[in-house]
Amino acid sequence: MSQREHDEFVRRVRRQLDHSLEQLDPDTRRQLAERRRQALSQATAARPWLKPALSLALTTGLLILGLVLLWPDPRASLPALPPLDDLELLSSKDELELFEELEFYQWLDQNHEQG
Amino acid sequence: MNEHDTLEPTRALDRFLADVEQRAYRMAHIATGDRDEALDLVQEAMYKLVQSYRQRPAEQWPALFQRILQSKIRDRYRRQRVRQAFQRWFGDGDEPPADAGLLRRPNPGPERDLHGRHAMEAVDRALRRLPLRQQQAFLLRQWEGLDVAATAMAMGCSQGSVKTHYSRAIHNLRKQLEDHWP
Repeated sequence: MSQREHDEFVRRVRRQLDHSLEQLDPDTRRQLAERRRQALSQATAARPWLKPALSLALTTGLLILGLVLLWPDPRASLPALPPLDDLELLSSKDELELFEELEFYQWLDQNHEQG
Repeated sequence: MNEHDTLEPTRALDRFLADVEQRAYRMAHIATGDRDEALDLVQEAMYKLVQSYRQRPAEQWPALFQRILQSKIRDRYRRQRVRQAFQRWFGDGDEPPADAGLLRRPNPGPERDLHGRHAMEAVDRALRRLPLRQQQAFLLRQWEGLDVAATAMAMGCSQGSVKTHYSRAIHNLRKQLEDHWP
Protein backbone atom coordinates (compact mmCIF):
# COMPACT_ATOMS: atom_id res chain seq x y z
CA MET A 1 0.00 0.00 0.00
CA SER A 2 1.44 3.36 -0.98
CA GLN A 3 1.44 6.27 1.45
CA ARG A 4 -1.30 7.94 -0.58
CA GLU A 5 -3.49 4.81 -0.43
CA HIS A 6 -2.81 4.49 3.28
CA ASP A 7 -3.77 8.09 3.93
CA GLU A 8 -6.92 7.80 1.85
CA PHE A 9 -7.95 4.59 3.60
CA VAL A 10 -7.37 6.06 7.04
CA ARG A 11 -9.26 9.22 6.08
CA ARG A 12 -12.30 7.14 5.13
CA VAL A 13 -12.24 5.15 8.35
CA ARG A 14 -11.84 8.31 10.40
CA ARG A 15 -14.73 9.95 8.59
CA GLN A 16 -16.98 7.04 9.49
CA LEU A 17 -15.84 7.17 13.10
CA ASP A 18 -16.55 10.90 13.26
CA HIS A 19 -19.91 10.23 11.69
CA SER A 20 -20.65 7.67 14.43
CA LEU A 21 -20.22 10.42 17.02
CA GLU A 22 -22.88 12.49 15.33
CA GLN A 23 -25.16 9.46 15.52
CA LEU A 24 -24.80 9.04 19.27
CA ASP A 25 -28.23 8.95 20.82
CA PRO A 26 -29.30 11.77 23.16
CA ASP A 27 -29.50 9.47 26.17
CA THR A 28 -25.88 8.37 25.78
CA ARG A 29 -24.79 12.00 25.43
CA ARG A 30 -26.73 12.91 28.55
CA GLN A 31 -25.27 9.96 30.45
CA LEU A 32 -21.74 10.94 29.47
CA ALA A 33 -22.25 14.52 30.64
CA GLU A 34 -23.79 13.32 33.90
CA ARG A 35 -20.97 10.87 34.56
CA ARG A 36 -18.40 13.57 33.83
CA ARG A 37 -20.10 15.81 36.36
CA GLN A 38 -20.11 12.99 38.93
CA ALA A 39 -16.47 12.13 38.34
CA LEU A 40 -15.43 15.75 38.74
CA SER A 41 -17.49 16.40 41.84
CA GLN A 42 -16.54 13.14 43.58
CA ALA A 43 -12.85 13.29 42.77
CA THR A 44 -12.48 16.94 43.81
CA ALA A 45 -14.91 16.81 46.73
CA ALA A 46 -13.62 18.28 49.95
CA ARG A 47 -13.28 15.58 52.59
CA PRO A 48 -13.98 17.26 55.94
CA TRP A 49 -13.38 14.03 57.82
CA LEU A 50 -9.91 13.54 56.38
CA LYS A 51 -8.02 16.08 58.53
CA PRO A 52 -9.43 14.96 61.91
CA ALA A 53 -8.96 11.33 60.88
CA LEU A 54 -5.31 11.92 60.02
CA SER A 55 -4.77 13.82 63.30
CA LEU A 56 -6.34 10.99 65.26
CA ALA A 57 -4.24 8.38 63.47
CA LEU A 58 -1.06 10.38 64.12
CA THR A 59 -1.87 10.88 67.82
CA THR A 60 -2.67 7.19 68.25
CA GLY A 61 0.56 6.23 66.52
CA LEU A 62 2.63 8.49 68.72
CA LEU A 63 0.89 7.20 71.83
CA ILE A 64 1.62 3.59 70.91
CA LEU A 65 5.23 4.44 70.11
CA GLY A 66 5.61 6.20 73.47
CA LEU A 67 4.13 3.25 75.33
CA VAL A 68 6.42 0.81 73.56
CA LEU A 69 9.49 2.89 74.32
CA LEU A 70 8.63 3.71 77.93
CA TRP A 71 7.11 0.40 79.01
CA PRO A 72 9.44 -1.28 81.55
CA ASP A 73 11.39 -4.11 80.01
CA PRO A 74 10.13 -7.35 81.66
CA ARG A 75 13.50 -8.98 81.07
CA ALA A 76 15.13 -6.44 83.41
CA SER A 77 13.36 -7.95 86.46
CA LEU A 78 14.45 -11.53 85.77
CA PRO A 79 17.42 -12.89 87.69
CA ALA A 80 20.63 -12.65 85.78
CA LEU A 81 21.49 -15.71 83.75
CA PRO A 82 24.31 -17.79 85.13
CA PRO A 83 27.63 -17.36 83.41
CA LEU A 84 28.31 -19.63 80.46
CA ASP A 85 30.95 -21.62 82.41
CA ASP A 86 28.37 -22.51 85.05
CA LEU A 87 25.97 -23.66 82.36
CA GLU A 88 28.60 -26.03 81.05
CA LEU A 89 29.10 -27.43 84.52
CA LEU A 90 25.39 -27.88 85.03
CA SER A 91 24.89 -29.61 81.72
CA SER A 92 26.76 -32.79 82.65
CA LYS A 93 26.58 -34.80 85.86
CA ASP A 94 30.09 -36.26 85.43
CA GLU A 95 31.68 -32.94 84.80
CA LEU A 96 29.96 -31.47 87.85
CA GLU A 97 31.42 -34.17 90.05
CA LEU A 98 34.81 -33.59 88.54
CA PHE A 99 34.71 -29.90 89.30
CA GLU A 100 33.36 -30.43 92.80
CA GLU A 101 36.28 -32.73 93.54
CA LEU A 102 38.77 -30.74 91.54
CA GLU A 103 41.09 -30.15 94.48
CA PHE A 104 41.09 -33.88 95.27
CA TYR A 105 41.95 -34.81 91.70
CA GLN A 106 44.72 -32.22 91.62
CA TRP A 107 46.16 -33.61 94.83
CA LEU A 108 45.84 -37.16 93.49
CA ASP A 109 47.60 -36.18 90.33
CA GLN A 110 50.48 -34.54 92.21
CA ASN A 111 50.89 -37.59 94.46
CA HIS A 112 50.82 -39.87 91.47
CA GLU A 113 53.63 -37.93 89.81
CA GLN A 114 55.69 -37.89 93.02
CA GLY A 115 55.05 -41.57 93.69
CA MET B 1 -4.92 25.74 48.25
CA ASN B 2 -7.88 28.09 48.19
CA GLU B 3 -11.12 27.66 46.30
CA HIS B 4 -9.98 29.81 43.40
CA ASP B 5 -6.92 27.62 42.85
CA THR B 6 -9.02 24.46 42.60
CA LEU B 7 -11.77 26.02 40.50
CA GLU B 8 -9.66 26.81 37.45
CA PRO B 9 -8.12 23.34 36.99
CA THR B 10 -11.56 21.85 37.54
CA ARG B 11 -13.04 23.99 34.79
CA ALA B 12 -10.16 23.16 32.48
CA LEU B 13 -10.60 19.46 33.25
CA ASP B 14 -14.32 19.73 32.60
CA ARG B 15 -13.62 21.23 29.20
CA PHE B 16 -11.00 18.61 28.42
CA LEU B 17 -13.24 15.72 29.44
CA ALA B 18 -16.20 17.15 27.55
CA ASP B 19 -13.99 17.25 24.48
CA VAL B 20 -12.80 13.64 24.71
CA GLU B 21 -15.73 11.84 26.33
CA GLN B 22 -17.63 10.86 23.19
CA ARG B 23 -14.59 9.45 21.42
CA ALA B 24 -13.60 7.70 24.65
CA TYR B 25 -17.06 6.20 24.90
CA ARG B 26 -16.95 4.99 21.30
CA MET B 27 -13.52 3.41 21.83
CA ALA B 28 -14.75 1.65 24.96
CA HIS B 29 -17.91 0.60 23.18
CA ILE B 30 -15.99 -0.80 20.21
CA ALA B 31 -13.76 -2.73 22.65
CA THR B 32 -16.51 -4.04 24.91
CA GLY B 33 -19.61 -4.12 22.75
CA ASP B 34 -21.63 -3.10 25.79
CA ARG B 35 -23.06 0.37 26.28
CA ASP B 36 -23.26 0.34 30.08
CA GLU B 37 -19.79 -1.13 30.47
CA ALA B 38 -18.42 1.47 28.08
CA LEU B 39 -20.05 4.26 30.10
CA ASP B 40 -18.67 2.81 33.34
CA LEU B 41 -15.16 2.57 31.93
CA VAL B 42 -15.24 6.17 30.74
CA GLN B 43 -16.52 7.39 34.09
CA GLU B 44 -13.85 5.44 35.98
CA ALA B 45 -11.15 6.85 33.73
CA MET B 46 -12.49 10.38 34.23
CA TYR B 47 -12.57 9.93 38.00
CA LYS B 48 -9.04 8.56 38.11
CA LEU B 49 -7.67 11.37 35.96
CA VAL B 50 -9.29 14.04 38.09
CA GLN B 51 -8.37 12.40 41.37
CA SER B 52 -4.74 11.62 40.60
CA TYR B 53 -3.56 13.87 37.80
CA ARG B 54 -5.50 17.12 37.88
CA GLN B 55 -2.41 19.00 39.01
CA ARG B 56 -0.40 17.79 36.03
CA PRO B 57 0.05 20.17 33.08
CA ALA B 58 -2.98 20.13 30.80
CA GLU B 59 -0.93 19.02 27.79
CA GLN B 60 -0.29 15.72 29.58
CA TRP B 61 -3.97 14.99 30.15
CA PRO B 62 -4.77 13.38 26.76
CA ALA B 63 -2.08 10.70 27.06
CA LEU B 64 -2.75 10.19 30.77
CA PHE B 65 -6.48 9.87 30.22
CA GLN B 66 -5.97 7.40 27.40
CA ARG B 67 -3.49 5.42 29.46
CA ILE B 68 -6.05 5.06 32.24
CA LEU B 69 -8.89 4.25 29.86
CA GLN B 70 -6.96 1.76 27.74
CA SER B 71 -5.61 0.06 30.85
CA LYS B 72 -9.15 -0.33 32.18
CA ILE B 73 -10.32 -1.69 28.84
CA ARG B 74 -7.43 -4.18 28.88
CA ASP B 75 -8.22 -5.27 32.44
CA ARG B 76 -11.85 -5.77 31.54
CA TYR B 77 -10.83 -7.74 28.45
CA ARG B 78 -8.59 -10.05 30.54
CA ARG B 79 -11.29 -10.61 33.14
CA GLN B 80 -13.75 -11.48 30.41
CA ARG B 81 -11.34 -14.00 28.91
CA VAL B 82 -10.78 -15.67 32.29
CA ARG B 83 -14.54 -15.79 32.86
CA GLN B 84 -15.07 -17.34 29.44
CA ALA B 85 -12.34 -19.91 30.11
CA PHE B 86 -14.05 -20.90 33.37
CA GLN B 87 -17.37 -21.15 31.59
CA ARG B 88 -15.81 -23.42 28.98
CA TRP B 89 -14.20 -25.67 31.64
CA PHE B 90 -17.36 -26.05 33.62
CA GLY B 91 -19.60 -26.18 30.56
CA ASP B 92 -21.60 -23.24 31.86
CA GLY B 93 -23.32 -21.73 28.88
CA ASP B 94 -22.30 -21.44 25.29
CA GLU B 95 -19.30 -19.45 24.30
CA PRO B 96 -20.46 -16.20 22.75
CA PRO B 97 -19.15 -15.38 19.31
CA ALA B 98 -16.26 -12.93 19.10
CA ASP B 99 -18.57 -10.09 18.17
CA ALA B 100 -21.44 -11.01 20.47
CA GLY B 101 -23.53 -8.04 21.36
CA LEU B 102 -21.88 -5.97 18.69
CA LEU B 103 -23.89 -6.93 15.65
CA ARG B 104 -27.47 -6.49 16.48
CA ARG B 105 -28.58 -5.70 12.99
CA PRO B 106 -28.56 -8.10 10.06
CA ASN B 107 -25.66 -7.66 7.69
CA PRO B 108 -27.05 -5.55 4.87
CA GLY B 109 -24.55 -6.93 2.35
CA PRO B 110 -21.46 -5.34 0.89
CA GLU B 111 -23.25 -3.48 -1.87
CA ARG B 112 -24.98 -1.23 0.63
CA ASP B 113 -22.18 -0.92 3.15
CA LEU B 114 -20.75 2.20 1.65
CA HIS B 115 -23.88 4.15 2.09
CA GLY B 116 -24.75 6.10 5.18
CA ARG B 117 -25.25 4.09 8.30
CA HIS B 118 -24.14 0.84 6.69
CA ALA B 119 -20.70 2.18 5.95
CA MET B 120 -20.38 3.15 9.58
CA GLU B 121 -21.47 -0.32 10.67
CA ALA B 122 -18.99 -1.97 8.32
CA VAL B 123 -16.15 0.07 9.83
CA ASP B 124 -17.43 -0.65 13.32
CA ARG B 125 -17.59 -4.35 12.59
CA ALA B 126 -14.09 -4.41 11.11
CA LEU B 127 -12.68 -2.54 14.12
CA ARG B 128 -14.41 -4.84 16.58
CA ARG B 129 -12.95 -7.88 14.90
CA LEU B 130 -9.42 -6.62 15.39
CA PRO B 131 -7.41 -7.97 18.31
CA LEU B 132 -7.58 -5.47 21.18
CA ARG B 133 -4.02 -4.18 20.87
CA GLN B 134 -4.40 -3.53 17.14
CA GLN B 135 -7.70 -1.80 17.79
CA GLN B 136 -6.09 0.41 20.44
CA ALA B 137 -3.06 1.26 18.30
CA PHE B 138 -5.21 2.23 15.32
CA LEU B 139 -7.76 4.29 17.24
CA LEU B 140 -5.22 6.10 19.39
CA ARG B 141 -3.00 6.95 16.44
CA GLN B 142 -5.60 7.82 13.86
CA TRP B 143 -8.65 8.94 15.76
CA GLU B 144 -7.29 10.33 18.98
CA GLY B 145 -4.35 11.82 17.11
CA LEU B 146 -1.65 10.66 19.52
CA ASP B 147 1.87 10.29 18.17
CA VAL B 148 3.76 7.00 18.45
CA ALA B 149 5.38 7.93 21.77
CA ALA B 150 2.11 9.02 23.39
CA THR B 151 0.35 5.94 22.02
CA ALA B 152 3.07 3.73 23.50
CA MET B 153 2.61 5.51 26.82
CA ALA B 154 -1.17 5.09 26.65
CA MET B 155 -0.91 1.41 25.73
CA GLY B 156 1.87 0.69 28.20
CA CYS B 157 4.18 -0.83 25.59
CA SER B 158 7.20 0.09 23.47
CA GLN B 159 7.05 2.33 20.42
CA GLY B 160 8.15 -0.63 18.32
CA SER B 161 5.14 -2.61 19.53
CA VAL B 162 2.85 0.29 18.65
CA LYS B 163 4.21 0.34 15.10
CA THR B 164 3.75 -3.42 14.77
CA HIS B 165 0.19 -3.38 16.13
CA TYR B 166 -0.68 -0.40 13.95
CA SER B 167 0.72 -1.97 10.81
CA ARG B 168 -1.20 -5.21 11.44
CA ALA B 169 -4.34 -3.24 12.19
CA ILE B 170 -4.13 -1.43 8.85
CA HIS B 171 -3.51 -4.71 7.06
CA ASN B 172 -6.47 -6.42 8.74
CA LEU B 173 -8.81 -3.48 8.26
CA ARG B 174 -7.93 -3.25 4.58
CA LYS B 175 -8.57 -6.95 4.20
CA GLN B 176 -11.94 -6.76 5.93
CA LEU B 177 -13.05 -3.68 4.03
CA GLU B 178 -11.55 -4.53 0.64
CA ASP B 179 -14.94 -5.44 -0.79
CA HIS B 180 -16.14 -1.97 0.07
CA TRP B 181 -13.05 0.15 -0.46
CA PRO B 182 -10.84 -1.66 -2.99
